[in-house]
Amino acid sequence: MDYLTSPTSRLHRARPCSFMPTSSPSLIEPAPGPKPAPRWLGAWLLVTSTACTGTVYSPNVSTSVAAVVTDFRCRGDAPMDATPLRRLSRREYRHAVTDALYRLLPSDAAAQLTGSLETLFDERPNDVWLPHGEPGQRLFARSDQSLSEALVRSDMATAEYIAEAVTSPGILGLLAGSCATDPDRSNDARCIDELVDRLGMVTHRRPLSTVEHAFYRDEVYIDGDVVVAEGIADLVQVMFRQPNFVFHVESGDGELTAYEAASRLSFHFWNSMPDEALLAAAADGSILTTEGWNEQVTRVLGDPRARDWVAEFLDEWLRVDRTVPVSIATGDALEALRGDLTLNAALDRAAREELHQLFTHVLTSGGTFEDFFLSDVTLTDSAELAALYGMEAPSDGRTPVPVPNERVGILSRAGMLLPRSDITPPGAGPRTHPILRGVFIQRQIMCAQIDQPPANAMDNLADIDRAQTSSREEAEILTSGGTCRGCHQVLNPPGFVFEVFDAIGQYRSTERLFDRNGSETGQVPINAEVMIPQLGTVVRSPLELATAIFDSETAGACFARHYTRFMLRRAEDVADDGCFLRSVDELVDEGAPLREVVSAPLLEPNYRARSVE
Amino acid sequence: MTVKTVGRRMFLAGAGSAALAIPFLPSLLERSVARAAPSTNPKRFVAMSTSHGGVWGEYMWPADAMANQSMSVLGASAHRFRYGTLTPRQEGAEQVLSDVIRGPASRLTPGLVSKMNLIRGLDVPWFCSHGNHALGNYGPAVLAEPAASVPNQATIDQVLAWSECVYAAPPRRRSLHVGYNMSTTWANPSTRSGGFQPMSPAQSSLALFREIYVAPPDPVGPSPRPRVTDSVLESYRRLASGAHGAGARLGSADRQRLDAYMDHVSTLESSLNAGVAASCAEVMVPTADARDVPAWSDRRNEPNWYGPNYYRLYNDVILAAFMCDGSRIATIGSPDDWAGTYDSWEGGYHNGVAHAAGAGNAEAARLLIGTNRTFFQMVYLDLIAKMDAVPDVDGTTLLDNSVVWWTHESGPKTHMNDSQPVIMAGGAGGALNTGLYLDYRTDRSFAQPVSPGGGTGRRPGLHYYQWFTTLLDALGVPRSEWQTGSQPYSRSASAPSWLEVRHPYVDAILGYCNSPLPVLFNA
Repeated sequence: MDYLTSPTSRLHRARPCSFMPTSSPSLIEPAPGPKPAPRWLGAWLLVTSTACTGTVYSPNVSTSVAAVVTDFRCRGDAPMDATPLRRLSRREYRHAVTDALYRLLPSDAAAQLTGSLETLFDERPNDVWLPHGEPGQRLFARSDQSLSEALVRSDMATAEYIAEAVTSPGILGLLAGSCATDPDRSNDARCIDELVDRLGMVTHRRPLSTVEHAFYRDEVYIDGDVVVAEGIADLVQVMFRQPNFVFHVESGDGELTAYEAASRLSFHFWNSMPDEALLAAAADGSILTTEGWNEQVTRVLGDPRARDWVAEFLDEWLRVDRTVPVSIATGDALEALRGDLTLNAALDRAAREELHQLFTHVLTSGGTFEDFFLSDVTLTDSAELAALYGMEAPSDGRTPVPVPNERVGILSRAGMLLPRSDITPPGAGPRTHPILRGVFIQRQIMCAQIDQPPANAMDNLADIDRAQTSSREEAEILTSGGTCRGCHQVLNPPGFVFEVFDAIGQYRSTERLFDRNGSETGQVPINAEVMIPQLGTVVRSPLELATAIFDSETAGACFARHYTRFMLRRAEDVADDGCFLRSVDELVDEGAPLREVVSAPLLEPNYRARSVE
Repeated sequence: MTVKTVGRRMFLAGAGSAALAIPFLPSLLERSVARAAPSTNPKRFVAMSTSHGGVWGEYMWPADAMANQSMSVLGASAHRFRYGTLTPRQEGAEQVLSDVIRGPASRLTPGLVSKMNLIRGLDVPWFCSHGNHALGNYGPAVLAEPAASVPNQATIDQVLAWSECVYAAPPRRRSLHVGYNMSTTWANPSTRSGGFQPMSPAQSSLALFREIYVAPPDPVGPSPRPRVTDSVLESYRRLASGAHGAGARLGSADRQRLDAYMDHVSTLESSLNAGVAASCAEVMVPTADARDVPAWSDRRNEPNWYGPNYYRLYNDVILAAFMCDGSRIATIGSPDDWAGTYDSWEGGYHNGVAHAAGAGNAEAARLLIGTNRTFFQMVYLDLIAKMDAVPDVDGTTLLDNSVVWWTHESGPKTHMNDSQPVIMAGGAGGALNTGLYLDYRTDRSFAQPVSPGGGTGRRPGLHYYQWFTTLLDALGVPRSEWQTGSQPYSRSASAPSWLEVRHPYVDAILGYCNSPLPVLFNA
């Protein structure tokens, strides 16, 4: 899947110690239809004269920075999924179990049971981030397909717990009906048959075949035509452990079946099983028509449950899931920076959720990607966050309210600025880390390929008196040497722009300097003016930077890559997945509503297809 | 946990008193009983690794004078190294082997020191940067060498976990994993096939405990109903065969996934039926869960911060697993939790301390002493002392029949892996000599390493793979299970093109990798 090594790729990896785009325009066939030449092209020509170099002791070691691909070509020949038999992610498993129980039990009983399952859900092994194949990039956690004894053990424990709970004396009748608990044995056989079908529908996400029904009825349920609670428990346990529940069973080679398509759609936006309407559309086949499919995509995306994918996607794309709680910030200098602000868990949570709220608001209000990326409003109802922004009052949580000018654009929001492992080493104290902030912008927002730093990157660091030196000056001193300068003249500038925000995300015009004891030693004015090499433009504020990135089409193209990666649950292939990538990228560029943008790849014919090895 | 000479109930207690949100499932407790005795003289293995390393040699290791004997190996190449008996000195209430390896005399007793080894001078030839490579899989490490040349492989703990020589019968859990993941296993481990995948660390110490602990059977309870595993497996078989659904159209890769899953189901079922050792009755169920330890408590309030409490709760579970014989393998990967006391250090722990020390900052280097000493005393020493208090077979202790090993992500300089440390305790049932300071660096005068930093005394030693060879031999895994041709344990043992500490006789060192380490291995 790694396009860097794909034999079919027309792209070439950046040469060692040279700054160049990964996609040489002359090597890519022009996409159908007019599309303006990427605006970064001129800038690229400008910066090729400033080589990015990193020198280490081994002659065959290199480091480099390469820019984002912004042109995608649709060849129309790759199905969505080349991942064999995907299992449910940790998130999907939790939601699928929960929804299944709500389908099988009255709401109050389901709520009680799912609440008691929380511990078991938490014990399911975490899905982990896996390498993407490009330096510094990673797959979304939902791509983790590892199978382990721990996973099987966890799912078994959950199924056992459910089985025991739903067959307890007070619940069995709710699950199977009064026929399961009344003294009349003549209705037991029908009772069991009906339960098999109900359980089957919920746990297979489709009706059982006759053969499958017979398997569960006669081989799993070993108590004949009499309702026995232990037998029902066996049935329930097997239903929740069989492959159609644990895996996304898609057996087609080519077009998905109607039920498989319904599941693929619901698991993408809801991380859960199809609802009754989707199953009905699968049952009558309407979901396989273009009109029926489009209708369901729109409905599913518009459902409140779709907020789940928004949180999952944003947390991992923008790495806000790695926020180091600002509430633990300690030290005299940080105390001085904090002033009257409240740094607590509520602020951490509000900062993260603000981005979710904003994205959801744009989705549901007909806004565009630009409306999100360069947003001038917030929906936070957090007094702490509003105070951090210098606002008189927060939103009510539903009504967008304007943010101060310096907070326009998502890159200037607290979720992007609070300490977190991507941009702030643990225990970084009162100083910002413009280099790491710059690397973050380059990797996640501009999709630049950044190799690991050379082995000797940390050798011979200059001895810097931080009590007298600004964070920007420190970064410039540290990276101005011959072996560092090449890459860092690309990496640092986006980070320098964000020096208008301090280590806890407050806006500032001067940087307060502290000595090691936390005593303030002085202030220096912020210099946020930089040249962004890839864009070939000078910017003086985060908003100017965000606008320049958006106008260059880099932000849209990078978003397309992250979203497609999320959707595919694997590394996107710029060549083979060009239809999906292009569908997103073009609509962003055209200013289409965001809901159309995120729906677009699902409307591609290949989304409902699968290849089989 | 306070471990006393056993013969009474062992209390596994930690800080706090969090209770499980749900009760144990009766079915989890019924399915096996203490019906099987442990195999004779089982050996256990614990590997710990902490982030960074970068502890200068003069702080990590005893004085050179402690290595007062020498030996030459490699014939004509004449690699002469030094070794000696571990001889702690008393400083106040502490026993001191080095600035890092020191502890209260009440815990780091002469008897315990005699069961330890400090091993210096084992070099990894790669520049590893940051990567979870401590257990021998260099595939995920960020390498200066072309990464593609280093394939993934199963880590040493997994080689052990799936060896019939370690487990004659399936245990309740083959290996326990705590903290960050360092382990790589096969997708289908029983057949050692299907590619490689990372292991999943435990989410909850209590949940892990429940997996390895078996309560005494209820003598008057009803007979348990047959388990449904056969039905579960049958449902997978029918899908794979096409009898259910449209399985006939599944691809071969899909079927491999089904096979792998069924393999894990079967393994789990065997584990659930595994017996436990009689000494399991000495274990009391813990009440605190590591996941309830606040991850970001005020870390200036040492020692009441996250690290010690978190890992000591897991240490208790590992000990319980060994006592119950529910598992014999454990790993602990500890990230920057130990940076806690340096929250306000400019640049943070990663850059401001660990890397700064590697680059030659003496003040930062001294700070690393503290973080590593804390881990040694609060986690490593905690576990080995507890293990040494538990009787095993033939008058030995659990520790005597184990290897408990602590290493760092790097050697004396961050990102560099010359002299990657080996702190170990336990003699693997007599297979290893103990009570030694083994300094495998050549004692020849030697030019300074290529890059500066890392303190003094950086000289080439033997190959780190020899440690893996030694371990696997000592723990009784036949070479046929881990050796490919004449290659040592790691498949990535091709001649390195670059070493941080350039070696004058690389080929000889590589050729020596299949031999267990001299003096250490008790042939």
